[in-house]
Amino acid sequence: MNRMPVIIVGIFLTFLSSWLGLVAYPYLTLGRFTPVTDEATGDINPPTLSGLAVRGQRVYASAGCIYCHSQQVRQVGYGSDLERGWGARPTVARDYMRENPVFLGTMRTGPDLTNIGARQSSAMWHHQHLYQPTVVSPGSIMPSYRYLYVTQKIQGQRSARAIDLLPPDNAPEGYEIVPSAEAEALVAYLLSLNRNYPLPEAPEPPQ
Amino acid sequence: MPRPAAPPTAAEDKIERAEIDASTRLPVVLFYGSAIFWLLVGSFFALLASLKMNNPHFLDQWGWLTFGRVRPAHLNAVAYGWASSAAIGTGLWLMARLCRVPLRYSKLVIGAAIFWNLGVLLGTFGILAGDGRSIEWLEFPNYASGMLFVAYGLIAVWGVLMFRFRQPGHVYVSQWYLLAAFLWFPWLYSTANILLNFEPIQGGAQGAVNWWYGHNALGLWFTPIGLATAYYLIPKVLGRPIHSYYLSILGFWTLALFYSWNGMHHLIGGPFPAWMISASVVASIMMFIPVITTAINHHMTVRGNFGALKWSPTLRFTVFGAMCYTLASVQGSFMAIPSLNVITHFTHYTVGHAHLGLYAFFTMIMFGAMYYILPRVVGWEWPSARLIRWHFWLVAIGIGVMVVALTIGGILQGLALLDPGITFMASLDYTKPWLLIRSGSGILLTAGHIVFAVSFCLLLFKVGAKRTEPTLFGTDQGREPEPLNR
Amino acid sequence: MNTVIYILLGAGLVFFGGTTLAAFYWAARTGQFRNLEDGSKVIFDDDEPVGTATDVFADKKADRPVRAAVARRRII
Repeated sequence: MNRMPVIIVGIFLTFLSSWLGLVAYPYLTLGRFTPVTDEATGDINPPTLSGLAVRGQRVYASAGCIYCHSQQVRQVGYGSDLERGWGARPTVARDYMRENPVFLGTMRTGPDLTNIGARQSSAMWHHQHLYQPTVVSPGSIMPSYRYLYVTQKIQGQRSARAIDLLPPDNAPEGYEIVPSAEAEALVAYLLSLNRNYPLPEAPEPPQ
Repeated sequence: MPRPAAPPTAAEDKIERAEIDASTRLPVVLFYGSAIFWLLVGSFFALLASLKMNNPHFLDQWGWLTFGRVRPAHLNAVAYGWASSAAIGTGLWLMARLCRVPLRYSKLVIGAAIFWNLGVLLGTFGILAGDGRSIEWLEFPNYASGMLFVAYGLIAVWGVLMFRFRQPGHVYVSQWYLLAAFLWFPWLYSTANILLNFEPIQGGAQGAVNWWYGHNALGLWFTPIGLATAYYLIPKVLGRPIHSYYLSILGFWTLALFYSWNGMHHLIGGPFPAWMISASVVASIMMFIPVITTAINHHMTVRGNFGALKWSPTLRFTVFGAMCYTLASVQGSFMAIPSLNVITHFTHYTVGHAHLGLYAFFTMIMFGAMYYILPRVVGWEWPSARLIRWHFWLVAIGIGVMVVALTIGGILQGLALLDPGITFMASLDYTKPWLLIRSGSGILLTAGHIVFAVSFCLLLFKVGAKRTEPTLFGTDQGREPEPLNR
Repeated sequence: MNTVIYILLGAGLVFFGGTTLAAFYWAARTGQFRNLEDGSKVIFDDDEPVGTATDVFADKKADRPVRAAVARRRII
């Protein structure tokens, strides 16, 4: 143990083994998926994201949503994700092929969001929830994302994009609250989160 | 520097050692100074994040202070700012001492210090500005991580060069660990950043690479440097050689072999092939071998001399850290068992475990190292034993309370999440009192860090009477300088 | 495609396992495991010898004298 070449070769080889197993192998087998076409419906799964939703992924990353929310429905036998109605089936690697970066997450201070687009399909609900989460979900410790919204004077008519706030919050008299481009993108992304489509390696489970 | 023909006398040893210590002064002070700065910054962000979990409306009007940015700013500031800087500073000094040559190529390490600080600064502000990547442990935007990589590369080159030109003779166990850490880290950092940030691979594979990196940053960067430090300081302070060198070799190679496979235990139940997750669970349990080996070695070295913890600050912090290494690692092995993981995954239990490892083990050992090393490189003793005592108790109690609170809160949360009959909101409610206690512990920790920073500044600016003997617990300022009379 | 991966993995295992065994054999043969105990004493010298604590005041002795490491039982 006194010769440098010995130690360096050993250091290199032990590390190489894990690099092969946990980096190279995943890249080869989990990093080169192509979408599949569902024979019954003709859908392409996983579905492509709209340009707005792709921008929404960046807002999700920028806001740090992963530090409270996960995006993985665990396998049967690992927790009660399915029983909680967080998804129709466990998620598999192919589900994440269009996610960059992937938002698997490791904390559930808030619920899992893999299928939030299916559970809450109203854009208005998402805007309200982002603006005033403790009102929409009493007991929640989610902070407000009102920094993504603009309070502007109503010019003549109320804007079609303006959001309604739930009491006790309300916009000042004569003002309306309008989502910024980032908020629109984020909500578009959240609405796209729906992994209830079948895949060959993950068919819909029997009811 | 060729060895003299006759074995050196005690006086020559002392001069040689003082020369080596003096040669490390600027790099060590640079790295330690930056480390302490980032410790304060990181503590501030930690407190902010914790308070925001107690009251979500706290300072939530601005994007740059939203929880989702403050929390990764905290992680990166303490991981790359505090912990890595302290690691490098300690590693520099240890390498010079163990190679028994004065520090050479100092321009390399000073360059590293500059790049590295710049990188952490840009990265931390980048996260607050919204450029964070939301990849855990790799949130820094590319402009920052690139700088960190250059800095670490310089350190790795320096490490190999120092080792190459060391004095002939036995290579000490700490040097194996240091060399390994210096070489592993750039490979880890570059691979992960290239595959996740610079040229991202498809999402399905990202999780594996992410947690291969995340766990290895702890297991192959911080742990080896922490162990290298403990393996040197414990025997050195006590004047007793390590109990069994055979065990050290076993511990080193089993750590190298098993630790790097642990990564997937962060993803148990996730969308990955069963064999990968199983391999990581097995490797996590095999970690018992290096961990128990190290624990036996350290314990048997200290055995019979635990009284030394009463008067030596270095030993107190280091032994605390070494014990928590065993505790955190054993806890980690258990957490990887799927039937237990199903309770703890996604809960605050994991956060508690992370702090047991990075703070109670690694940070405490770094404190111990700083208390030993700084007087020897600066040539001035710590001005106040009282400040050291306050530092120790504030952070020891702080981390103890924090880990216990998050463990209990996490288990309650996890058990609630497991039961589909219990609403999600109820699982959240279980955690709230414990998160409040966690904020309290954060105040203790931050106070301890401020005390330490004050101590450091007093030392650096050579405040107080000149002392010729080390500062120990149970002594205080105002002592007459002792005549040199060993 | 899958067969290539299995071949690669198998080759990696053989290569890695083989090298580990070869490394241990080489290490034992070239005496890497001899004189290990000397390695543990390398951090001491005449000025800071075994048996002397290096964090002590000249006049404040440790609570108990630091025991020298004499004739310890070997675990392995």
